[in-house]
Amino acid sequence: MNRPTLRNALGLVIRSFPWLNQTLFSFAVRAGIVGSKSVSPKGDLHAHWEGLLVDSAMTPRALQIYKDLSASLDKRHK
Amino acid sequence: MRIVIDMQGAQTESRFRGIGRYTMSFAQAIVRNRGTHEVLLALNGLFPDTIEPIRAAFHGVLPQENIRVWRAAVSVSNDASQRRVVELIREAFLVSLQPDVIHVASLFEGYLDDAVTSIGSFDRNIPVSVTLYDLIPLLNPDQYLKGKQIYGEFYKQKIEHLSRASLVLAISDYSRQEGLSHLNITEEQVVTVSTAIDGHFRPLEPSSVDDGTLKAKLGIKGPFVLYTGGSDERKNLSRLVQAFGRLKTTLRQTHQLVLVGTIGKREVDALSALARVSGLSADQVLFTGYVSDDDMVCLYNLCETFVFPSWHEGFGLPALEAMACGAVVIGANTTSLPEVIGSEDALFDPFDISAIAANLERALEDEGFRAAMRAHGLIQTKKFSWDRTAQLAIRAFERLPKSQQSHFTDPDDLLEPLIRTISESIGPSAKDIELRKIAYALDRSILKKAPKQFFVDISELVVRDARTGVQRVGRSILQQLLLSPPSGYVVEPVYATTDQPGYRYARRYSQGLKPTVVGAEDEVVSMRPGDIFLGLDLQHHTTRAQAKFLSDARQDGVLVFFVVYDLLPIHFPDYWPKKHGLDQVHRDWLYTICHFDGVICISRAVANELEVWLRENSPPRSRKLTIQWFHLGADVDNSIPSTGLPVEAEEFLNVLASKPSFLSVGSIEPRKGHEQTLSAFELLWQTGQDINLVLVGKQGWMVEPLVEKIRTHAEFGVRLFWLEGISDEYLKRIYTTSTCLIAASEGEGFGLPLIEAAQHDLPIIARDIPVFREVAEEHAFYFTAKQPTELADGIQDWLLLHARGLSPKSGAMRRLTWEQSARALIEICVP
Repeated sequence: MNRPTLRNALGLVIRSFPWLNQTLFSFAVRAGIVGSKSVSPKGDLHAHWEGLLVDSAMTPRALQIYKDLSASLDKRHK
Repeated sequence: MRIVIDMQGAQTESRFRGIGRYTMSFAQAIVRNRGTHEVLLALNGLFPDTIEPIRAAFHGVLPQENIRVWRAAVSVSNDASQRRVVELIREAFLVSLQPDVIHVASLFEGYLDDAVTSIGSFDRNIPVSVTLYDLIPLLNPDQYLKGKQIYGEFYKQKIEHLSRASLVLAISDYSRQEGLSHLNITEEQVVTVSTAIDGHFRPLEPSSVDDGTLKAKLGIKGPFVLYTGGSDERKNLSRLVQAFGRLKTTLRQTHQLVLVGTIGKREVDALSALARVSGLSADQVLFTGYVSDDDMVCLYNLCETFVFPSWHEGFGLPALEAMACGAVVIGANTTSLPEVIGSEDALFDPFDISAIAANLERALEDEGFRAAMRAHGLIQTKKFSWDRTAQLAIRAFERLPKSQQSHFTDPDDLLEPLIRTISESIGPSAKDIELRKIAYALDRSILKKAPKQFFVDISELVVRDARTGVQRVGRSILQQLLLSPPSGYVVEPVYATTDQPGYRYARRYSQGLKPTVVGAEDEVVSMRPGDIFLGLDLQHHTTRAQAKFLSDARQDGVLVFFVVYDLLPIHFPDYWPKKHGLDQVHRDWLYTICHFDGVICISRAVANELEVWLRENSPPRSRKLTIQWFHLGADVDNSIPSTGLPVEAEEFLNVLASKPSFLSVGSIEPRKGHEQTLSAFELLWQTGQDINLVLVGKQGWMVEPLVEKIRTHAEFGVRLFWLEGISDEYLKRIYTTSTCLIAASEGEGFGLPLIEAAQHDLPIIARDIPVFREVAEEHAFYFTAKQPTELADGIQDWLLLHARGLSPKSGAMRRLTWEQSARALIEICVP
């Protein structure tokens, strides 16, 4: 089975059995089937992005958008 | 008109298939034929590895800032809610580009990956155009949708999005008819733009066709009938195999049926079994698997006949490729193939095995038919060209009604409605981190309008300031850039650290340099397409720590350059303390910076050294690294000179003026040649030469014995002097009073003291190394000395010449001001 086909097959399994997500993804990264830079099925950020989401690392505009989004969500679900 | 092309078809797994090639070729043809229209390409940042190859493919034909990347920050492949949010982000991103038309080159993307191709989820004002390849699953649900519930849902949603398109560009008249019959669109909304093939599909000279080797590699023994493509049911391979089995014995025994393409094991087994039942031996039907494009061109050229029996195609590109290579081509008389093949004689009923066999026999035996088909094929292929496709598409775009987008004149206006819509799409239990991810993605994707920025990395100056020559250069260049920014850019000094990702505006530092700098907070930088980043300072570890951040910025369309001062730690590793491993650190840093757009060396000599180093050490690249050089300025007054004279200055200057005084400027380091210079002067003093040696520079590393020797020398304070940490003002006086500059260094990036000496008409004795030759040209006296005696002889020779007024004069040496130097740097960086 070539790499793209295997990758598609894995994707299908991941969609069908969500509980397998992270385990399969980790396996796929270790096996070199998907690149280590790929975004995991859990929706994790690339490792280096993690640090970009704390207040001190966000641009003032991104922080404002985050606050506006939080406020909009609060308003909607109050 | 501004045309935005969604390029995801060239980013997903489709990039390995026809759709990926179509997307790239279509976009390239649109760019070639754009005339006065503006073209922007939209890329999905969730496919980071595909961005650079696409940028490389458009290098030189489209400004890099016209290639825009939107960021999602989350994977969307298995979460409907996240997918919905990302659909909104993507559509808002596209609106923020203020296009007149958006073209989606491949709508049916995103089934198992992170592609997102919605229409009308956020915006319904801007016309969206879509390439229609086919509606095969819709029209053949039993074969393609039955029992595939998830895919069926996905496909249905895509058809709904397709029905919202303002324009459909069909790849054939047949697919146009399919669209008209099965989608809710009008005649005016669907235009055939056709498709084409790349130039490398052409008849080859018999001598250049790799006959024997390729055939042997694939197991082809003689004449063969060729097919290439998929193996799904509509491709009709089972009838082809059976038809091949019905060929007359003489043909069947002398030919092989060669099936090229990725065919699953189950299909191979089934077709092999069918071949056996049809009376064919094991090697008469050959499955090659995937072959490269180059090999495919050879196979098209080598085959006796190319057969394409598919009963449903959107176009049928392999048939056209084979015709372009001069092959005899026959194919099915259904769907799009008649318009592609263009000859009634070459068509057969794909459901009639006997008809396939009869047509195949004729194509193999009838020389008249074969010659006619070859000639016809070459003419027929000329009807299809990418330029024609692009021109038809652009004409269709031009006919679209004007979009109603006036209420979004500023991208920031999009944020309020977008945030409202997103908050409707996510549940109340959304985690804080998810909101931050969305905010991050919006900030990176919906860019506010702002002037272009020219970032100058001065991390060392801001964080530590080692006060080396590099920082002196940094201060001087930065000051000039702030005084005279590149036209159309705002100069922004920035810095980073090793412990936090990203750069910050060095506003507090800049206020000291330019009081007009507003805002004293060192905020996190926002980098945008078209910005330029110049790594002016030298901070090995910081640059490496920020490589990923800079790589992302480059993906977004920021041009990233670094200044390289020298390769000395690599070429002279013994001259630095082993424990620091600076040679490896420098090597790693060079390797890192050579991933970006360009390297600017401070001399031609360093650029040459770097080019040699890269022959062995270059990272893999899609685009060529530009290596350029500039020269440093030397007008001390414009380098923020330090001032102040010690109390004993005048007395010391009188001592220098009393006899010939030789000046050596530079920190005391092993490579600078101080030891050899001092030994040479000891020899000269022994022979009765009454001359001074003045060393100006701080103590460096690995020179403790030399320093001890200097401090305890019998001539120290008599004819041997060492001044540490003196001001620029004092140095200027010393240059004026001295007789000659000795530049004995074994390696330098530039050689600023030579320029400074020239400014004071001070003659120069320099070691004969490339960078000194480059800087001083014929205006210095050169020596090559392995031993102190040779240097002593050289100085004596120079003294004799000088006494006769024949020593080289330095005053006419070419030199730049810092303003000129900064200008040269700008010319290299700014496109």
